[in-house]
Amino acid sequence: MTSQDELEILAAARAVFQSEATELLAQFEAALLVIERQPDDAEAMNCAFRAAHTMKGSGGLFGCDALVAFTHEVESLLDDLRAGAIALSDDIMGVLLQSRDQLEVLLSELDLPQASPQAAATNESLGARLRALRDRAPSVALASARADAAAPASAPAGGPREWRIQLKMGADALRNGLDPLSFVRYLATLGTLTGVTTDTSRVPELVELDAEACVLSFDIRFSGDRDHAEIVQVFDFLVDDCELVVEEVGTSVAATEVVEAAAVEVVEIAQAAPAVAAADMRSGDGDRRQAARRGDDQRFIRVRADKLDALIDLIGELVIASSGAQMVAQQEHSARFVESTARIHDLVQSARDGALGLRMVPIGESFARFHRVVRDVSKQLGKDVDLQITGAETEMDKSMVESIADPLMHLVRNSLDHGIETPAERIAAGKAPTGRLALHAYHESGAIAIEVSDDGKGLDRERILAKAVSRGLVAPDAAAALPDEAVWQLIFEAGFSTADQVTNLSGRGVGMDVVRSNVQAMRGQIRIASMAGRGATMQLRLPLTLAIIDGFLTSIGGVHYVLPLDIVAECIEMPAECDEPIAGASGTFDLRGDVVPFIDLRRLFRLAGKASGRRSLVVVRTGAGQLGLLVDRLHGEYQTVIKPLNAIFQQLPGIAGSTILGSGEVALILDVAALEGQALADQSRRPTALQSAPALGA
Amino acid sequence: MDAADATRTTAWTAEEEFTIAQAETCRQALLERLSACQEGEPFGTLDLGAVKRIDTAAVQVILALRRTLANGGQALRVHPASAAVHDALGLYGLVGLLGEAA
Repeated sequence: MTSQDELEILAAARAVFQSEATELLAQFEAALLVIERQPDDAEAMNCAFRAAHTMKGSGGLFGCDALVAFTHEVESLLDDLRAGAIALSDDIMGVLLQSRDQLEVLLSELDLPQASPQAAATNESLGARLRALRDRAPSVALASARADAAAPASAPAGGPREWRIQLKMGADALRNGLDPLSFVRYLATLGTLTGVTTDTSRVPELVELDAEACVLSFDIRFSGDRDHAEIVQVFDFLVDDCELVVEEVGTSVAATEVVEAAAVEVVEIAQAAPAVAAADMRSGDGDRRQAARRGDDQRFIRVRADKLDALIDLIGELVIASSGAQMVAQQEHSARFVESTARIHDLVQSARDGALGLRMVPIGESFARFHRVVRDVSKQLGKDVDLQITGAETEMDKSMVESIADPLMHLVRNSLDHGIETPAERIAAGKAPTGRLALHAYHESGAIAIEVSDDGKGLDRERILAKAVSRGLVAPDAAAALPDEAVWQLIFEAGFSTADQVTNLSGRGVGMDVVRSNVQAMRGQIRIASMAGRGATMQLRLPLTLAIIDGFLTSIGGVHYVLPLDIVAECIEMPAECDEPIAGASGTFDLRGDVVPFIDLRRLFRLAGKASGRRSLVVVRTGAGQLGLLVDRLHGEYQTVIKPLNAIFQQLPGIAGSTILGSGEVALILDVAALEGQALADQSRRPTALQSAPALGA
Repeated sequence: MDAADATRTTAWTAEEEFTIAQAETCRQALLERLSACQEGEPFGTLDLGAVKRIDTAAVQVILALRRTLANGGQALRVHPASAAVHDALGLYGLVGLLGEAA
């Protein structure tokens, strides 16, 4: 192997490590934030510890000394926290979160031969603070545990249970940074250690001792109101490096459980074959445990994103080809041919769904980082905010999860900054001092909806309108009649900001318009619901994927147009008022008493010829309400692959892309957001149209 | 030099950190000290008074030393021992190591 190869392998491995470490950092942060709220959450503490520990271990493999040394300090502090040797304070939490940021910096510098001077300096200063925090409080864990035992009043009803824990350490435990002492100390915080016998029989003479190999075994008597699982959990990190037997003293032998990593399987085997000698089990378990762990690892494989994209492209072509074959089959009037193409079509659809599923990831990853954002921002603003996340398991395309991160961040910050009031204002308004910010995601009719809602003061209609009028976005006499939804949409106009006080978070007037354009670029929509004094909800609706569209096919003249199916509300016969001569391409019609704007697409696109036969109006849902689109013919649902338009055509108003029909013809995909903008613009120029319109419904 | 004096001779003094990072160095130092001891000469005591942090690797070094000394017919004496050492050996049920200077 040449050194070039070695370098490449190392670089590839490093990339894997980096992405894993990024995930670990996210876990670490999430766990810290849980601990901040519930300092006694043992699982979260374990999780933070595990993340730091794994990072340290992997970092060592790549010779990132700065990372290893720093993580070690973090880990030691966590260890002390876990053992109860020191109590959690704001100070400690602050330093731990800073440490997380520092770890991120160190990771980003992984490719450099050594850490930058800046990072090294931070390493030094933060490391010193971590050490200082640990030194401040001496170990009190054992003392307190003993004090508990001395006061039987604190013992729970039913009396504590007596446990015997046998811990035979593997040789590598110490080298792996796992000190049984910490675990015993931690165990002491859960109850009372009634006796620890350290088996020193494997300790050799000094001259033969491998100073870093662990040769001790422990027999621990423990008393406390803990169940089996809780005790096993204490030794969670050690499972790979020890043999652990936990049994309740005074129970029959039959109830004795042998505990290993893959507990269920092992226990079953142990029960099925009681004749197996203990020694046999010992050696066999290790292998089985290894196998189980390997199985775990293989549940995920890493695939290059471009390979996946190539596959999805190919399947897209297959969708088109399959539609084409189906059409040919119909034209050939061969029942058997039609049947077989139908079967192929079904399979292609399944393959398509499967391929797209490969790119799907739970949105929770993207939500998780908001815990930190909410914490930091609300501290900075002196507000007290509780973040609630629901629907984190909702899946969406990975590339979209990435593209949605920034817009979401903006909406969250906007809610924190402008929506939720300070505790004093909240109390004055008769609300709980703690504000609530909720992130909610769910699937709805082929789209994903993400909502950011707060229980703050809501949007201020008058102020938005005043500003919009002063900026010439709305005609002064049209302002009063604008429906709420249309008013809320105004905040997405470029250069619009209503904050009285411009803060460094939001309120610079850039952002909300960027949010909308980003969302629209993903064929998504933003809707706002707001109630003065009660709060606001911003809803993003996005297609599940960017590559394939569930479309609704229509035609005008000889040209096909596709609308995203999930925004189509209904199709109606063209109302009489749409046929009246109108200036421009848009007007309004009466939809069961509501005034709804419509666009005559034939006029908008200046298509030659005159409409013949019965025309239809497709009513679509838009950010601000509804919009009617006048077309010649409806062709129904159509699933297709989106092809971006050539650069020459990208400036076409109202067209978002193109697609190829089974027949080989090109269909144009309509950009509903742009069409809506056009209709609204037309109407604000002609306010009389809106004001006279209600008469139609009366 | 009689035996009573020997127990007050400090054979080796641990520093603040007595953990896996120092374990091998300590082992070497103790081995040197052992080989310096002539047949029948008492080893002396371990001074763990300054230790602020001790871990299992360090405890093992002490135990291995005890075994070596025991094979040579000597007892190990640890004196003085810091709070951290008391704490660790207490958790491990090894307070017997802390033979308060006989």
